[in-house]
Amino acid sequence: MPATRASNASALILVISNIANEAAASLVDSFPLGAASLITASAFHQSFKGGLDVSDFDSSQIKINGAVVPIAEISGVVTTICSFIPPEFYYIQAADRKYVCAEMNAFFTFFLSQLNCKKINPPSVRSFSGPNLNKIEWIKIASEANIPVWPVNIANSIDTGEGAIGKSKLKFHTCSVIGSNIIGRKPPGTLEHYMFDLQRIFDVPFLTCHFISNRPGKYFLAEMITRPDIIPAANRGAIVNYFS
Amino acid sequence: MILLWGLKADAPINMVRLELEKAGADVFFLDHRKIFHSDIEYTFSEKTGINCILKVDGITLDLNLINIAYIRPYSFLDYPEMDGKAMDDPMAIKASGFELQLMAWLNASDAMVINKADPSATNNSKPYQLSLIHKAGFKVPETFISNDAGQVKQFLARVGNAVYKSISSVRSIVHEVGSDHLQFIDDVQWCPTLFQKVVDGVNYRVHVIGDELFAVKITSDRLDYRYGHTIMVTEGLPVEIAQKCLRLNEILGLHFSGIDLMRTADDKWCCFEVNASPGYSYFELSSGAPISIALAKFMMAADRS
Repeated sequence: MPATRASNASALILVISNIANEAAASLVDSFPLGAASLITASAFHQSFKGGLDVSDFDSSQIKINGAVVPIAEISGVVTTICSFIPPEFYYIQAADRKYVCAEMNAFFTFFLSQLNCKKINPPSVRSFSGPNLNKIEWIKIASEANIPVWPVNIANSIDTGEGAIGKSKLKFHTCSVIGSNIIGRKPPGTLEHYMFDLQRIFDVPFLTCHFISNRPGKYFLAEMITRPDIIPAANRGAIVNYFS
Repeated sequence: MILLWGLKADAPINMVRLELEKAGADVFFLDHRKIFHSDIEYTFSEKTGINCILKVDGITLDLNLINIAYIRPYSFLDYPEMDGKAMDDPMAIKASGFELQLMAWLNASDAMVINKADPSATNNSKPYQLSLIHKAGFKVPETFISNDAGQVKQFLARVGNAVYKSISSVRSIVHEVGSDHLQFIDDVQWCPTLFQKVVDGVNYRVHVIGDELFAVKITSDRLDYRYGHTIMVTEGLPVEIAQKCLRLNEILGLHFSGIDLMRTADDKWCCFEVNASPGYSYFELSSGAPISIALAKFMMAADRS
């Protein structure tokens, strides 16, 4: 059952996700009743109704789950996907799904870009959530910012693993930040420093990174994810706190 | 070195290629048709830095040598080699991996690219791009997107004549909304649809290359001139409009663009769209505007600098 807005609610968080992502529904349920709504491609025609005025976006009129929502009352957005994919539009005849999907992605690129509220993460032209850079792109930016990057060898977009330095005694660390807080256990100071540098450089309030360490005190950035990972309960709790 | 990536049969690529060869430029033409036989390998380490090698037809190219690239890739899914093959066929996986990696390399590269992915992608959402065009100081047509038939009817009643077209970059023929369309208006509930107030006037296409521009005046017997009997002539722009075009190209982060303008009867200029990979050849061949020569000169200057 979709959450119903409480009659005294004056702000709304939109959670944009995939209908199969159970963590997205859990995230909505983590907010006070009626404070958040789940928007998916599969239920879009039932949950979202309205019109957007391109030259006067703030006057646009939308209804979410049947309730009128003034644009100014949307106080936050959490987006867990880069874009919609055609199979999500199961209610459209198969031959038209690709087209409808492209149209919906274009619609949401505009809608999310125009909302003037806290966003995890701000959309880009490539993604509903964050810059969604290819590894080759973020390696250049991170290495130029003096953040050590784990060596790679990529052939036709497949990481061959041949670039790795030694394959034994490696330690792996995963860190997530939201706003000015590390989520979960505090990492070593160097990693904390790298995380906040990367968060600033890529302009994303929520960031998850994987690091590899091959000797004490030396950490290499191995992966960077700018879409919020809402599967760990701790991450969902941190997101709710971020918007409160 | 200049990298051209596209198809020999693609007129925009071919015309500039001929101009570059005529001028003796240092050009590497990467034939997109050979994508199934092309390989790209990227390495990074703190010791060796960033390197990327491209291999095709027994030739190896160090991509660090590229100073400027003009790219017009095509969908390899349309090539006969893909007939009867699925997207998870090993050939398709390799081709899409090659394409993805070359695009990523170009996006990350210090080389000038016509055009990089992010500036080009504004065209994937017409309303998003219109919001940027508006910020650049151009008037834009009244545009409304909705999946609510009631709101669409209100918009149509208010603006009078309107057209509908795709929100995305998927090519669609622009149609005026007629009474026959109104009986299907409830179908907007399945997909948000873009409606735009008709702006009457004369169409112009302006191609901007760096700080140079070429304007073409277009008269046609069809609303969507691409599908009608159309005449094009080169024409100068008022200084203020020319400056706005240059500014718009810069704001969008483009090096080469095709800007669609409408000049109204009361001499107002309205901007509809900016194409980040313009099929300029159609306009050059119809009007005589020397766009391919200017593009070649622009690339050669960038290669030298």
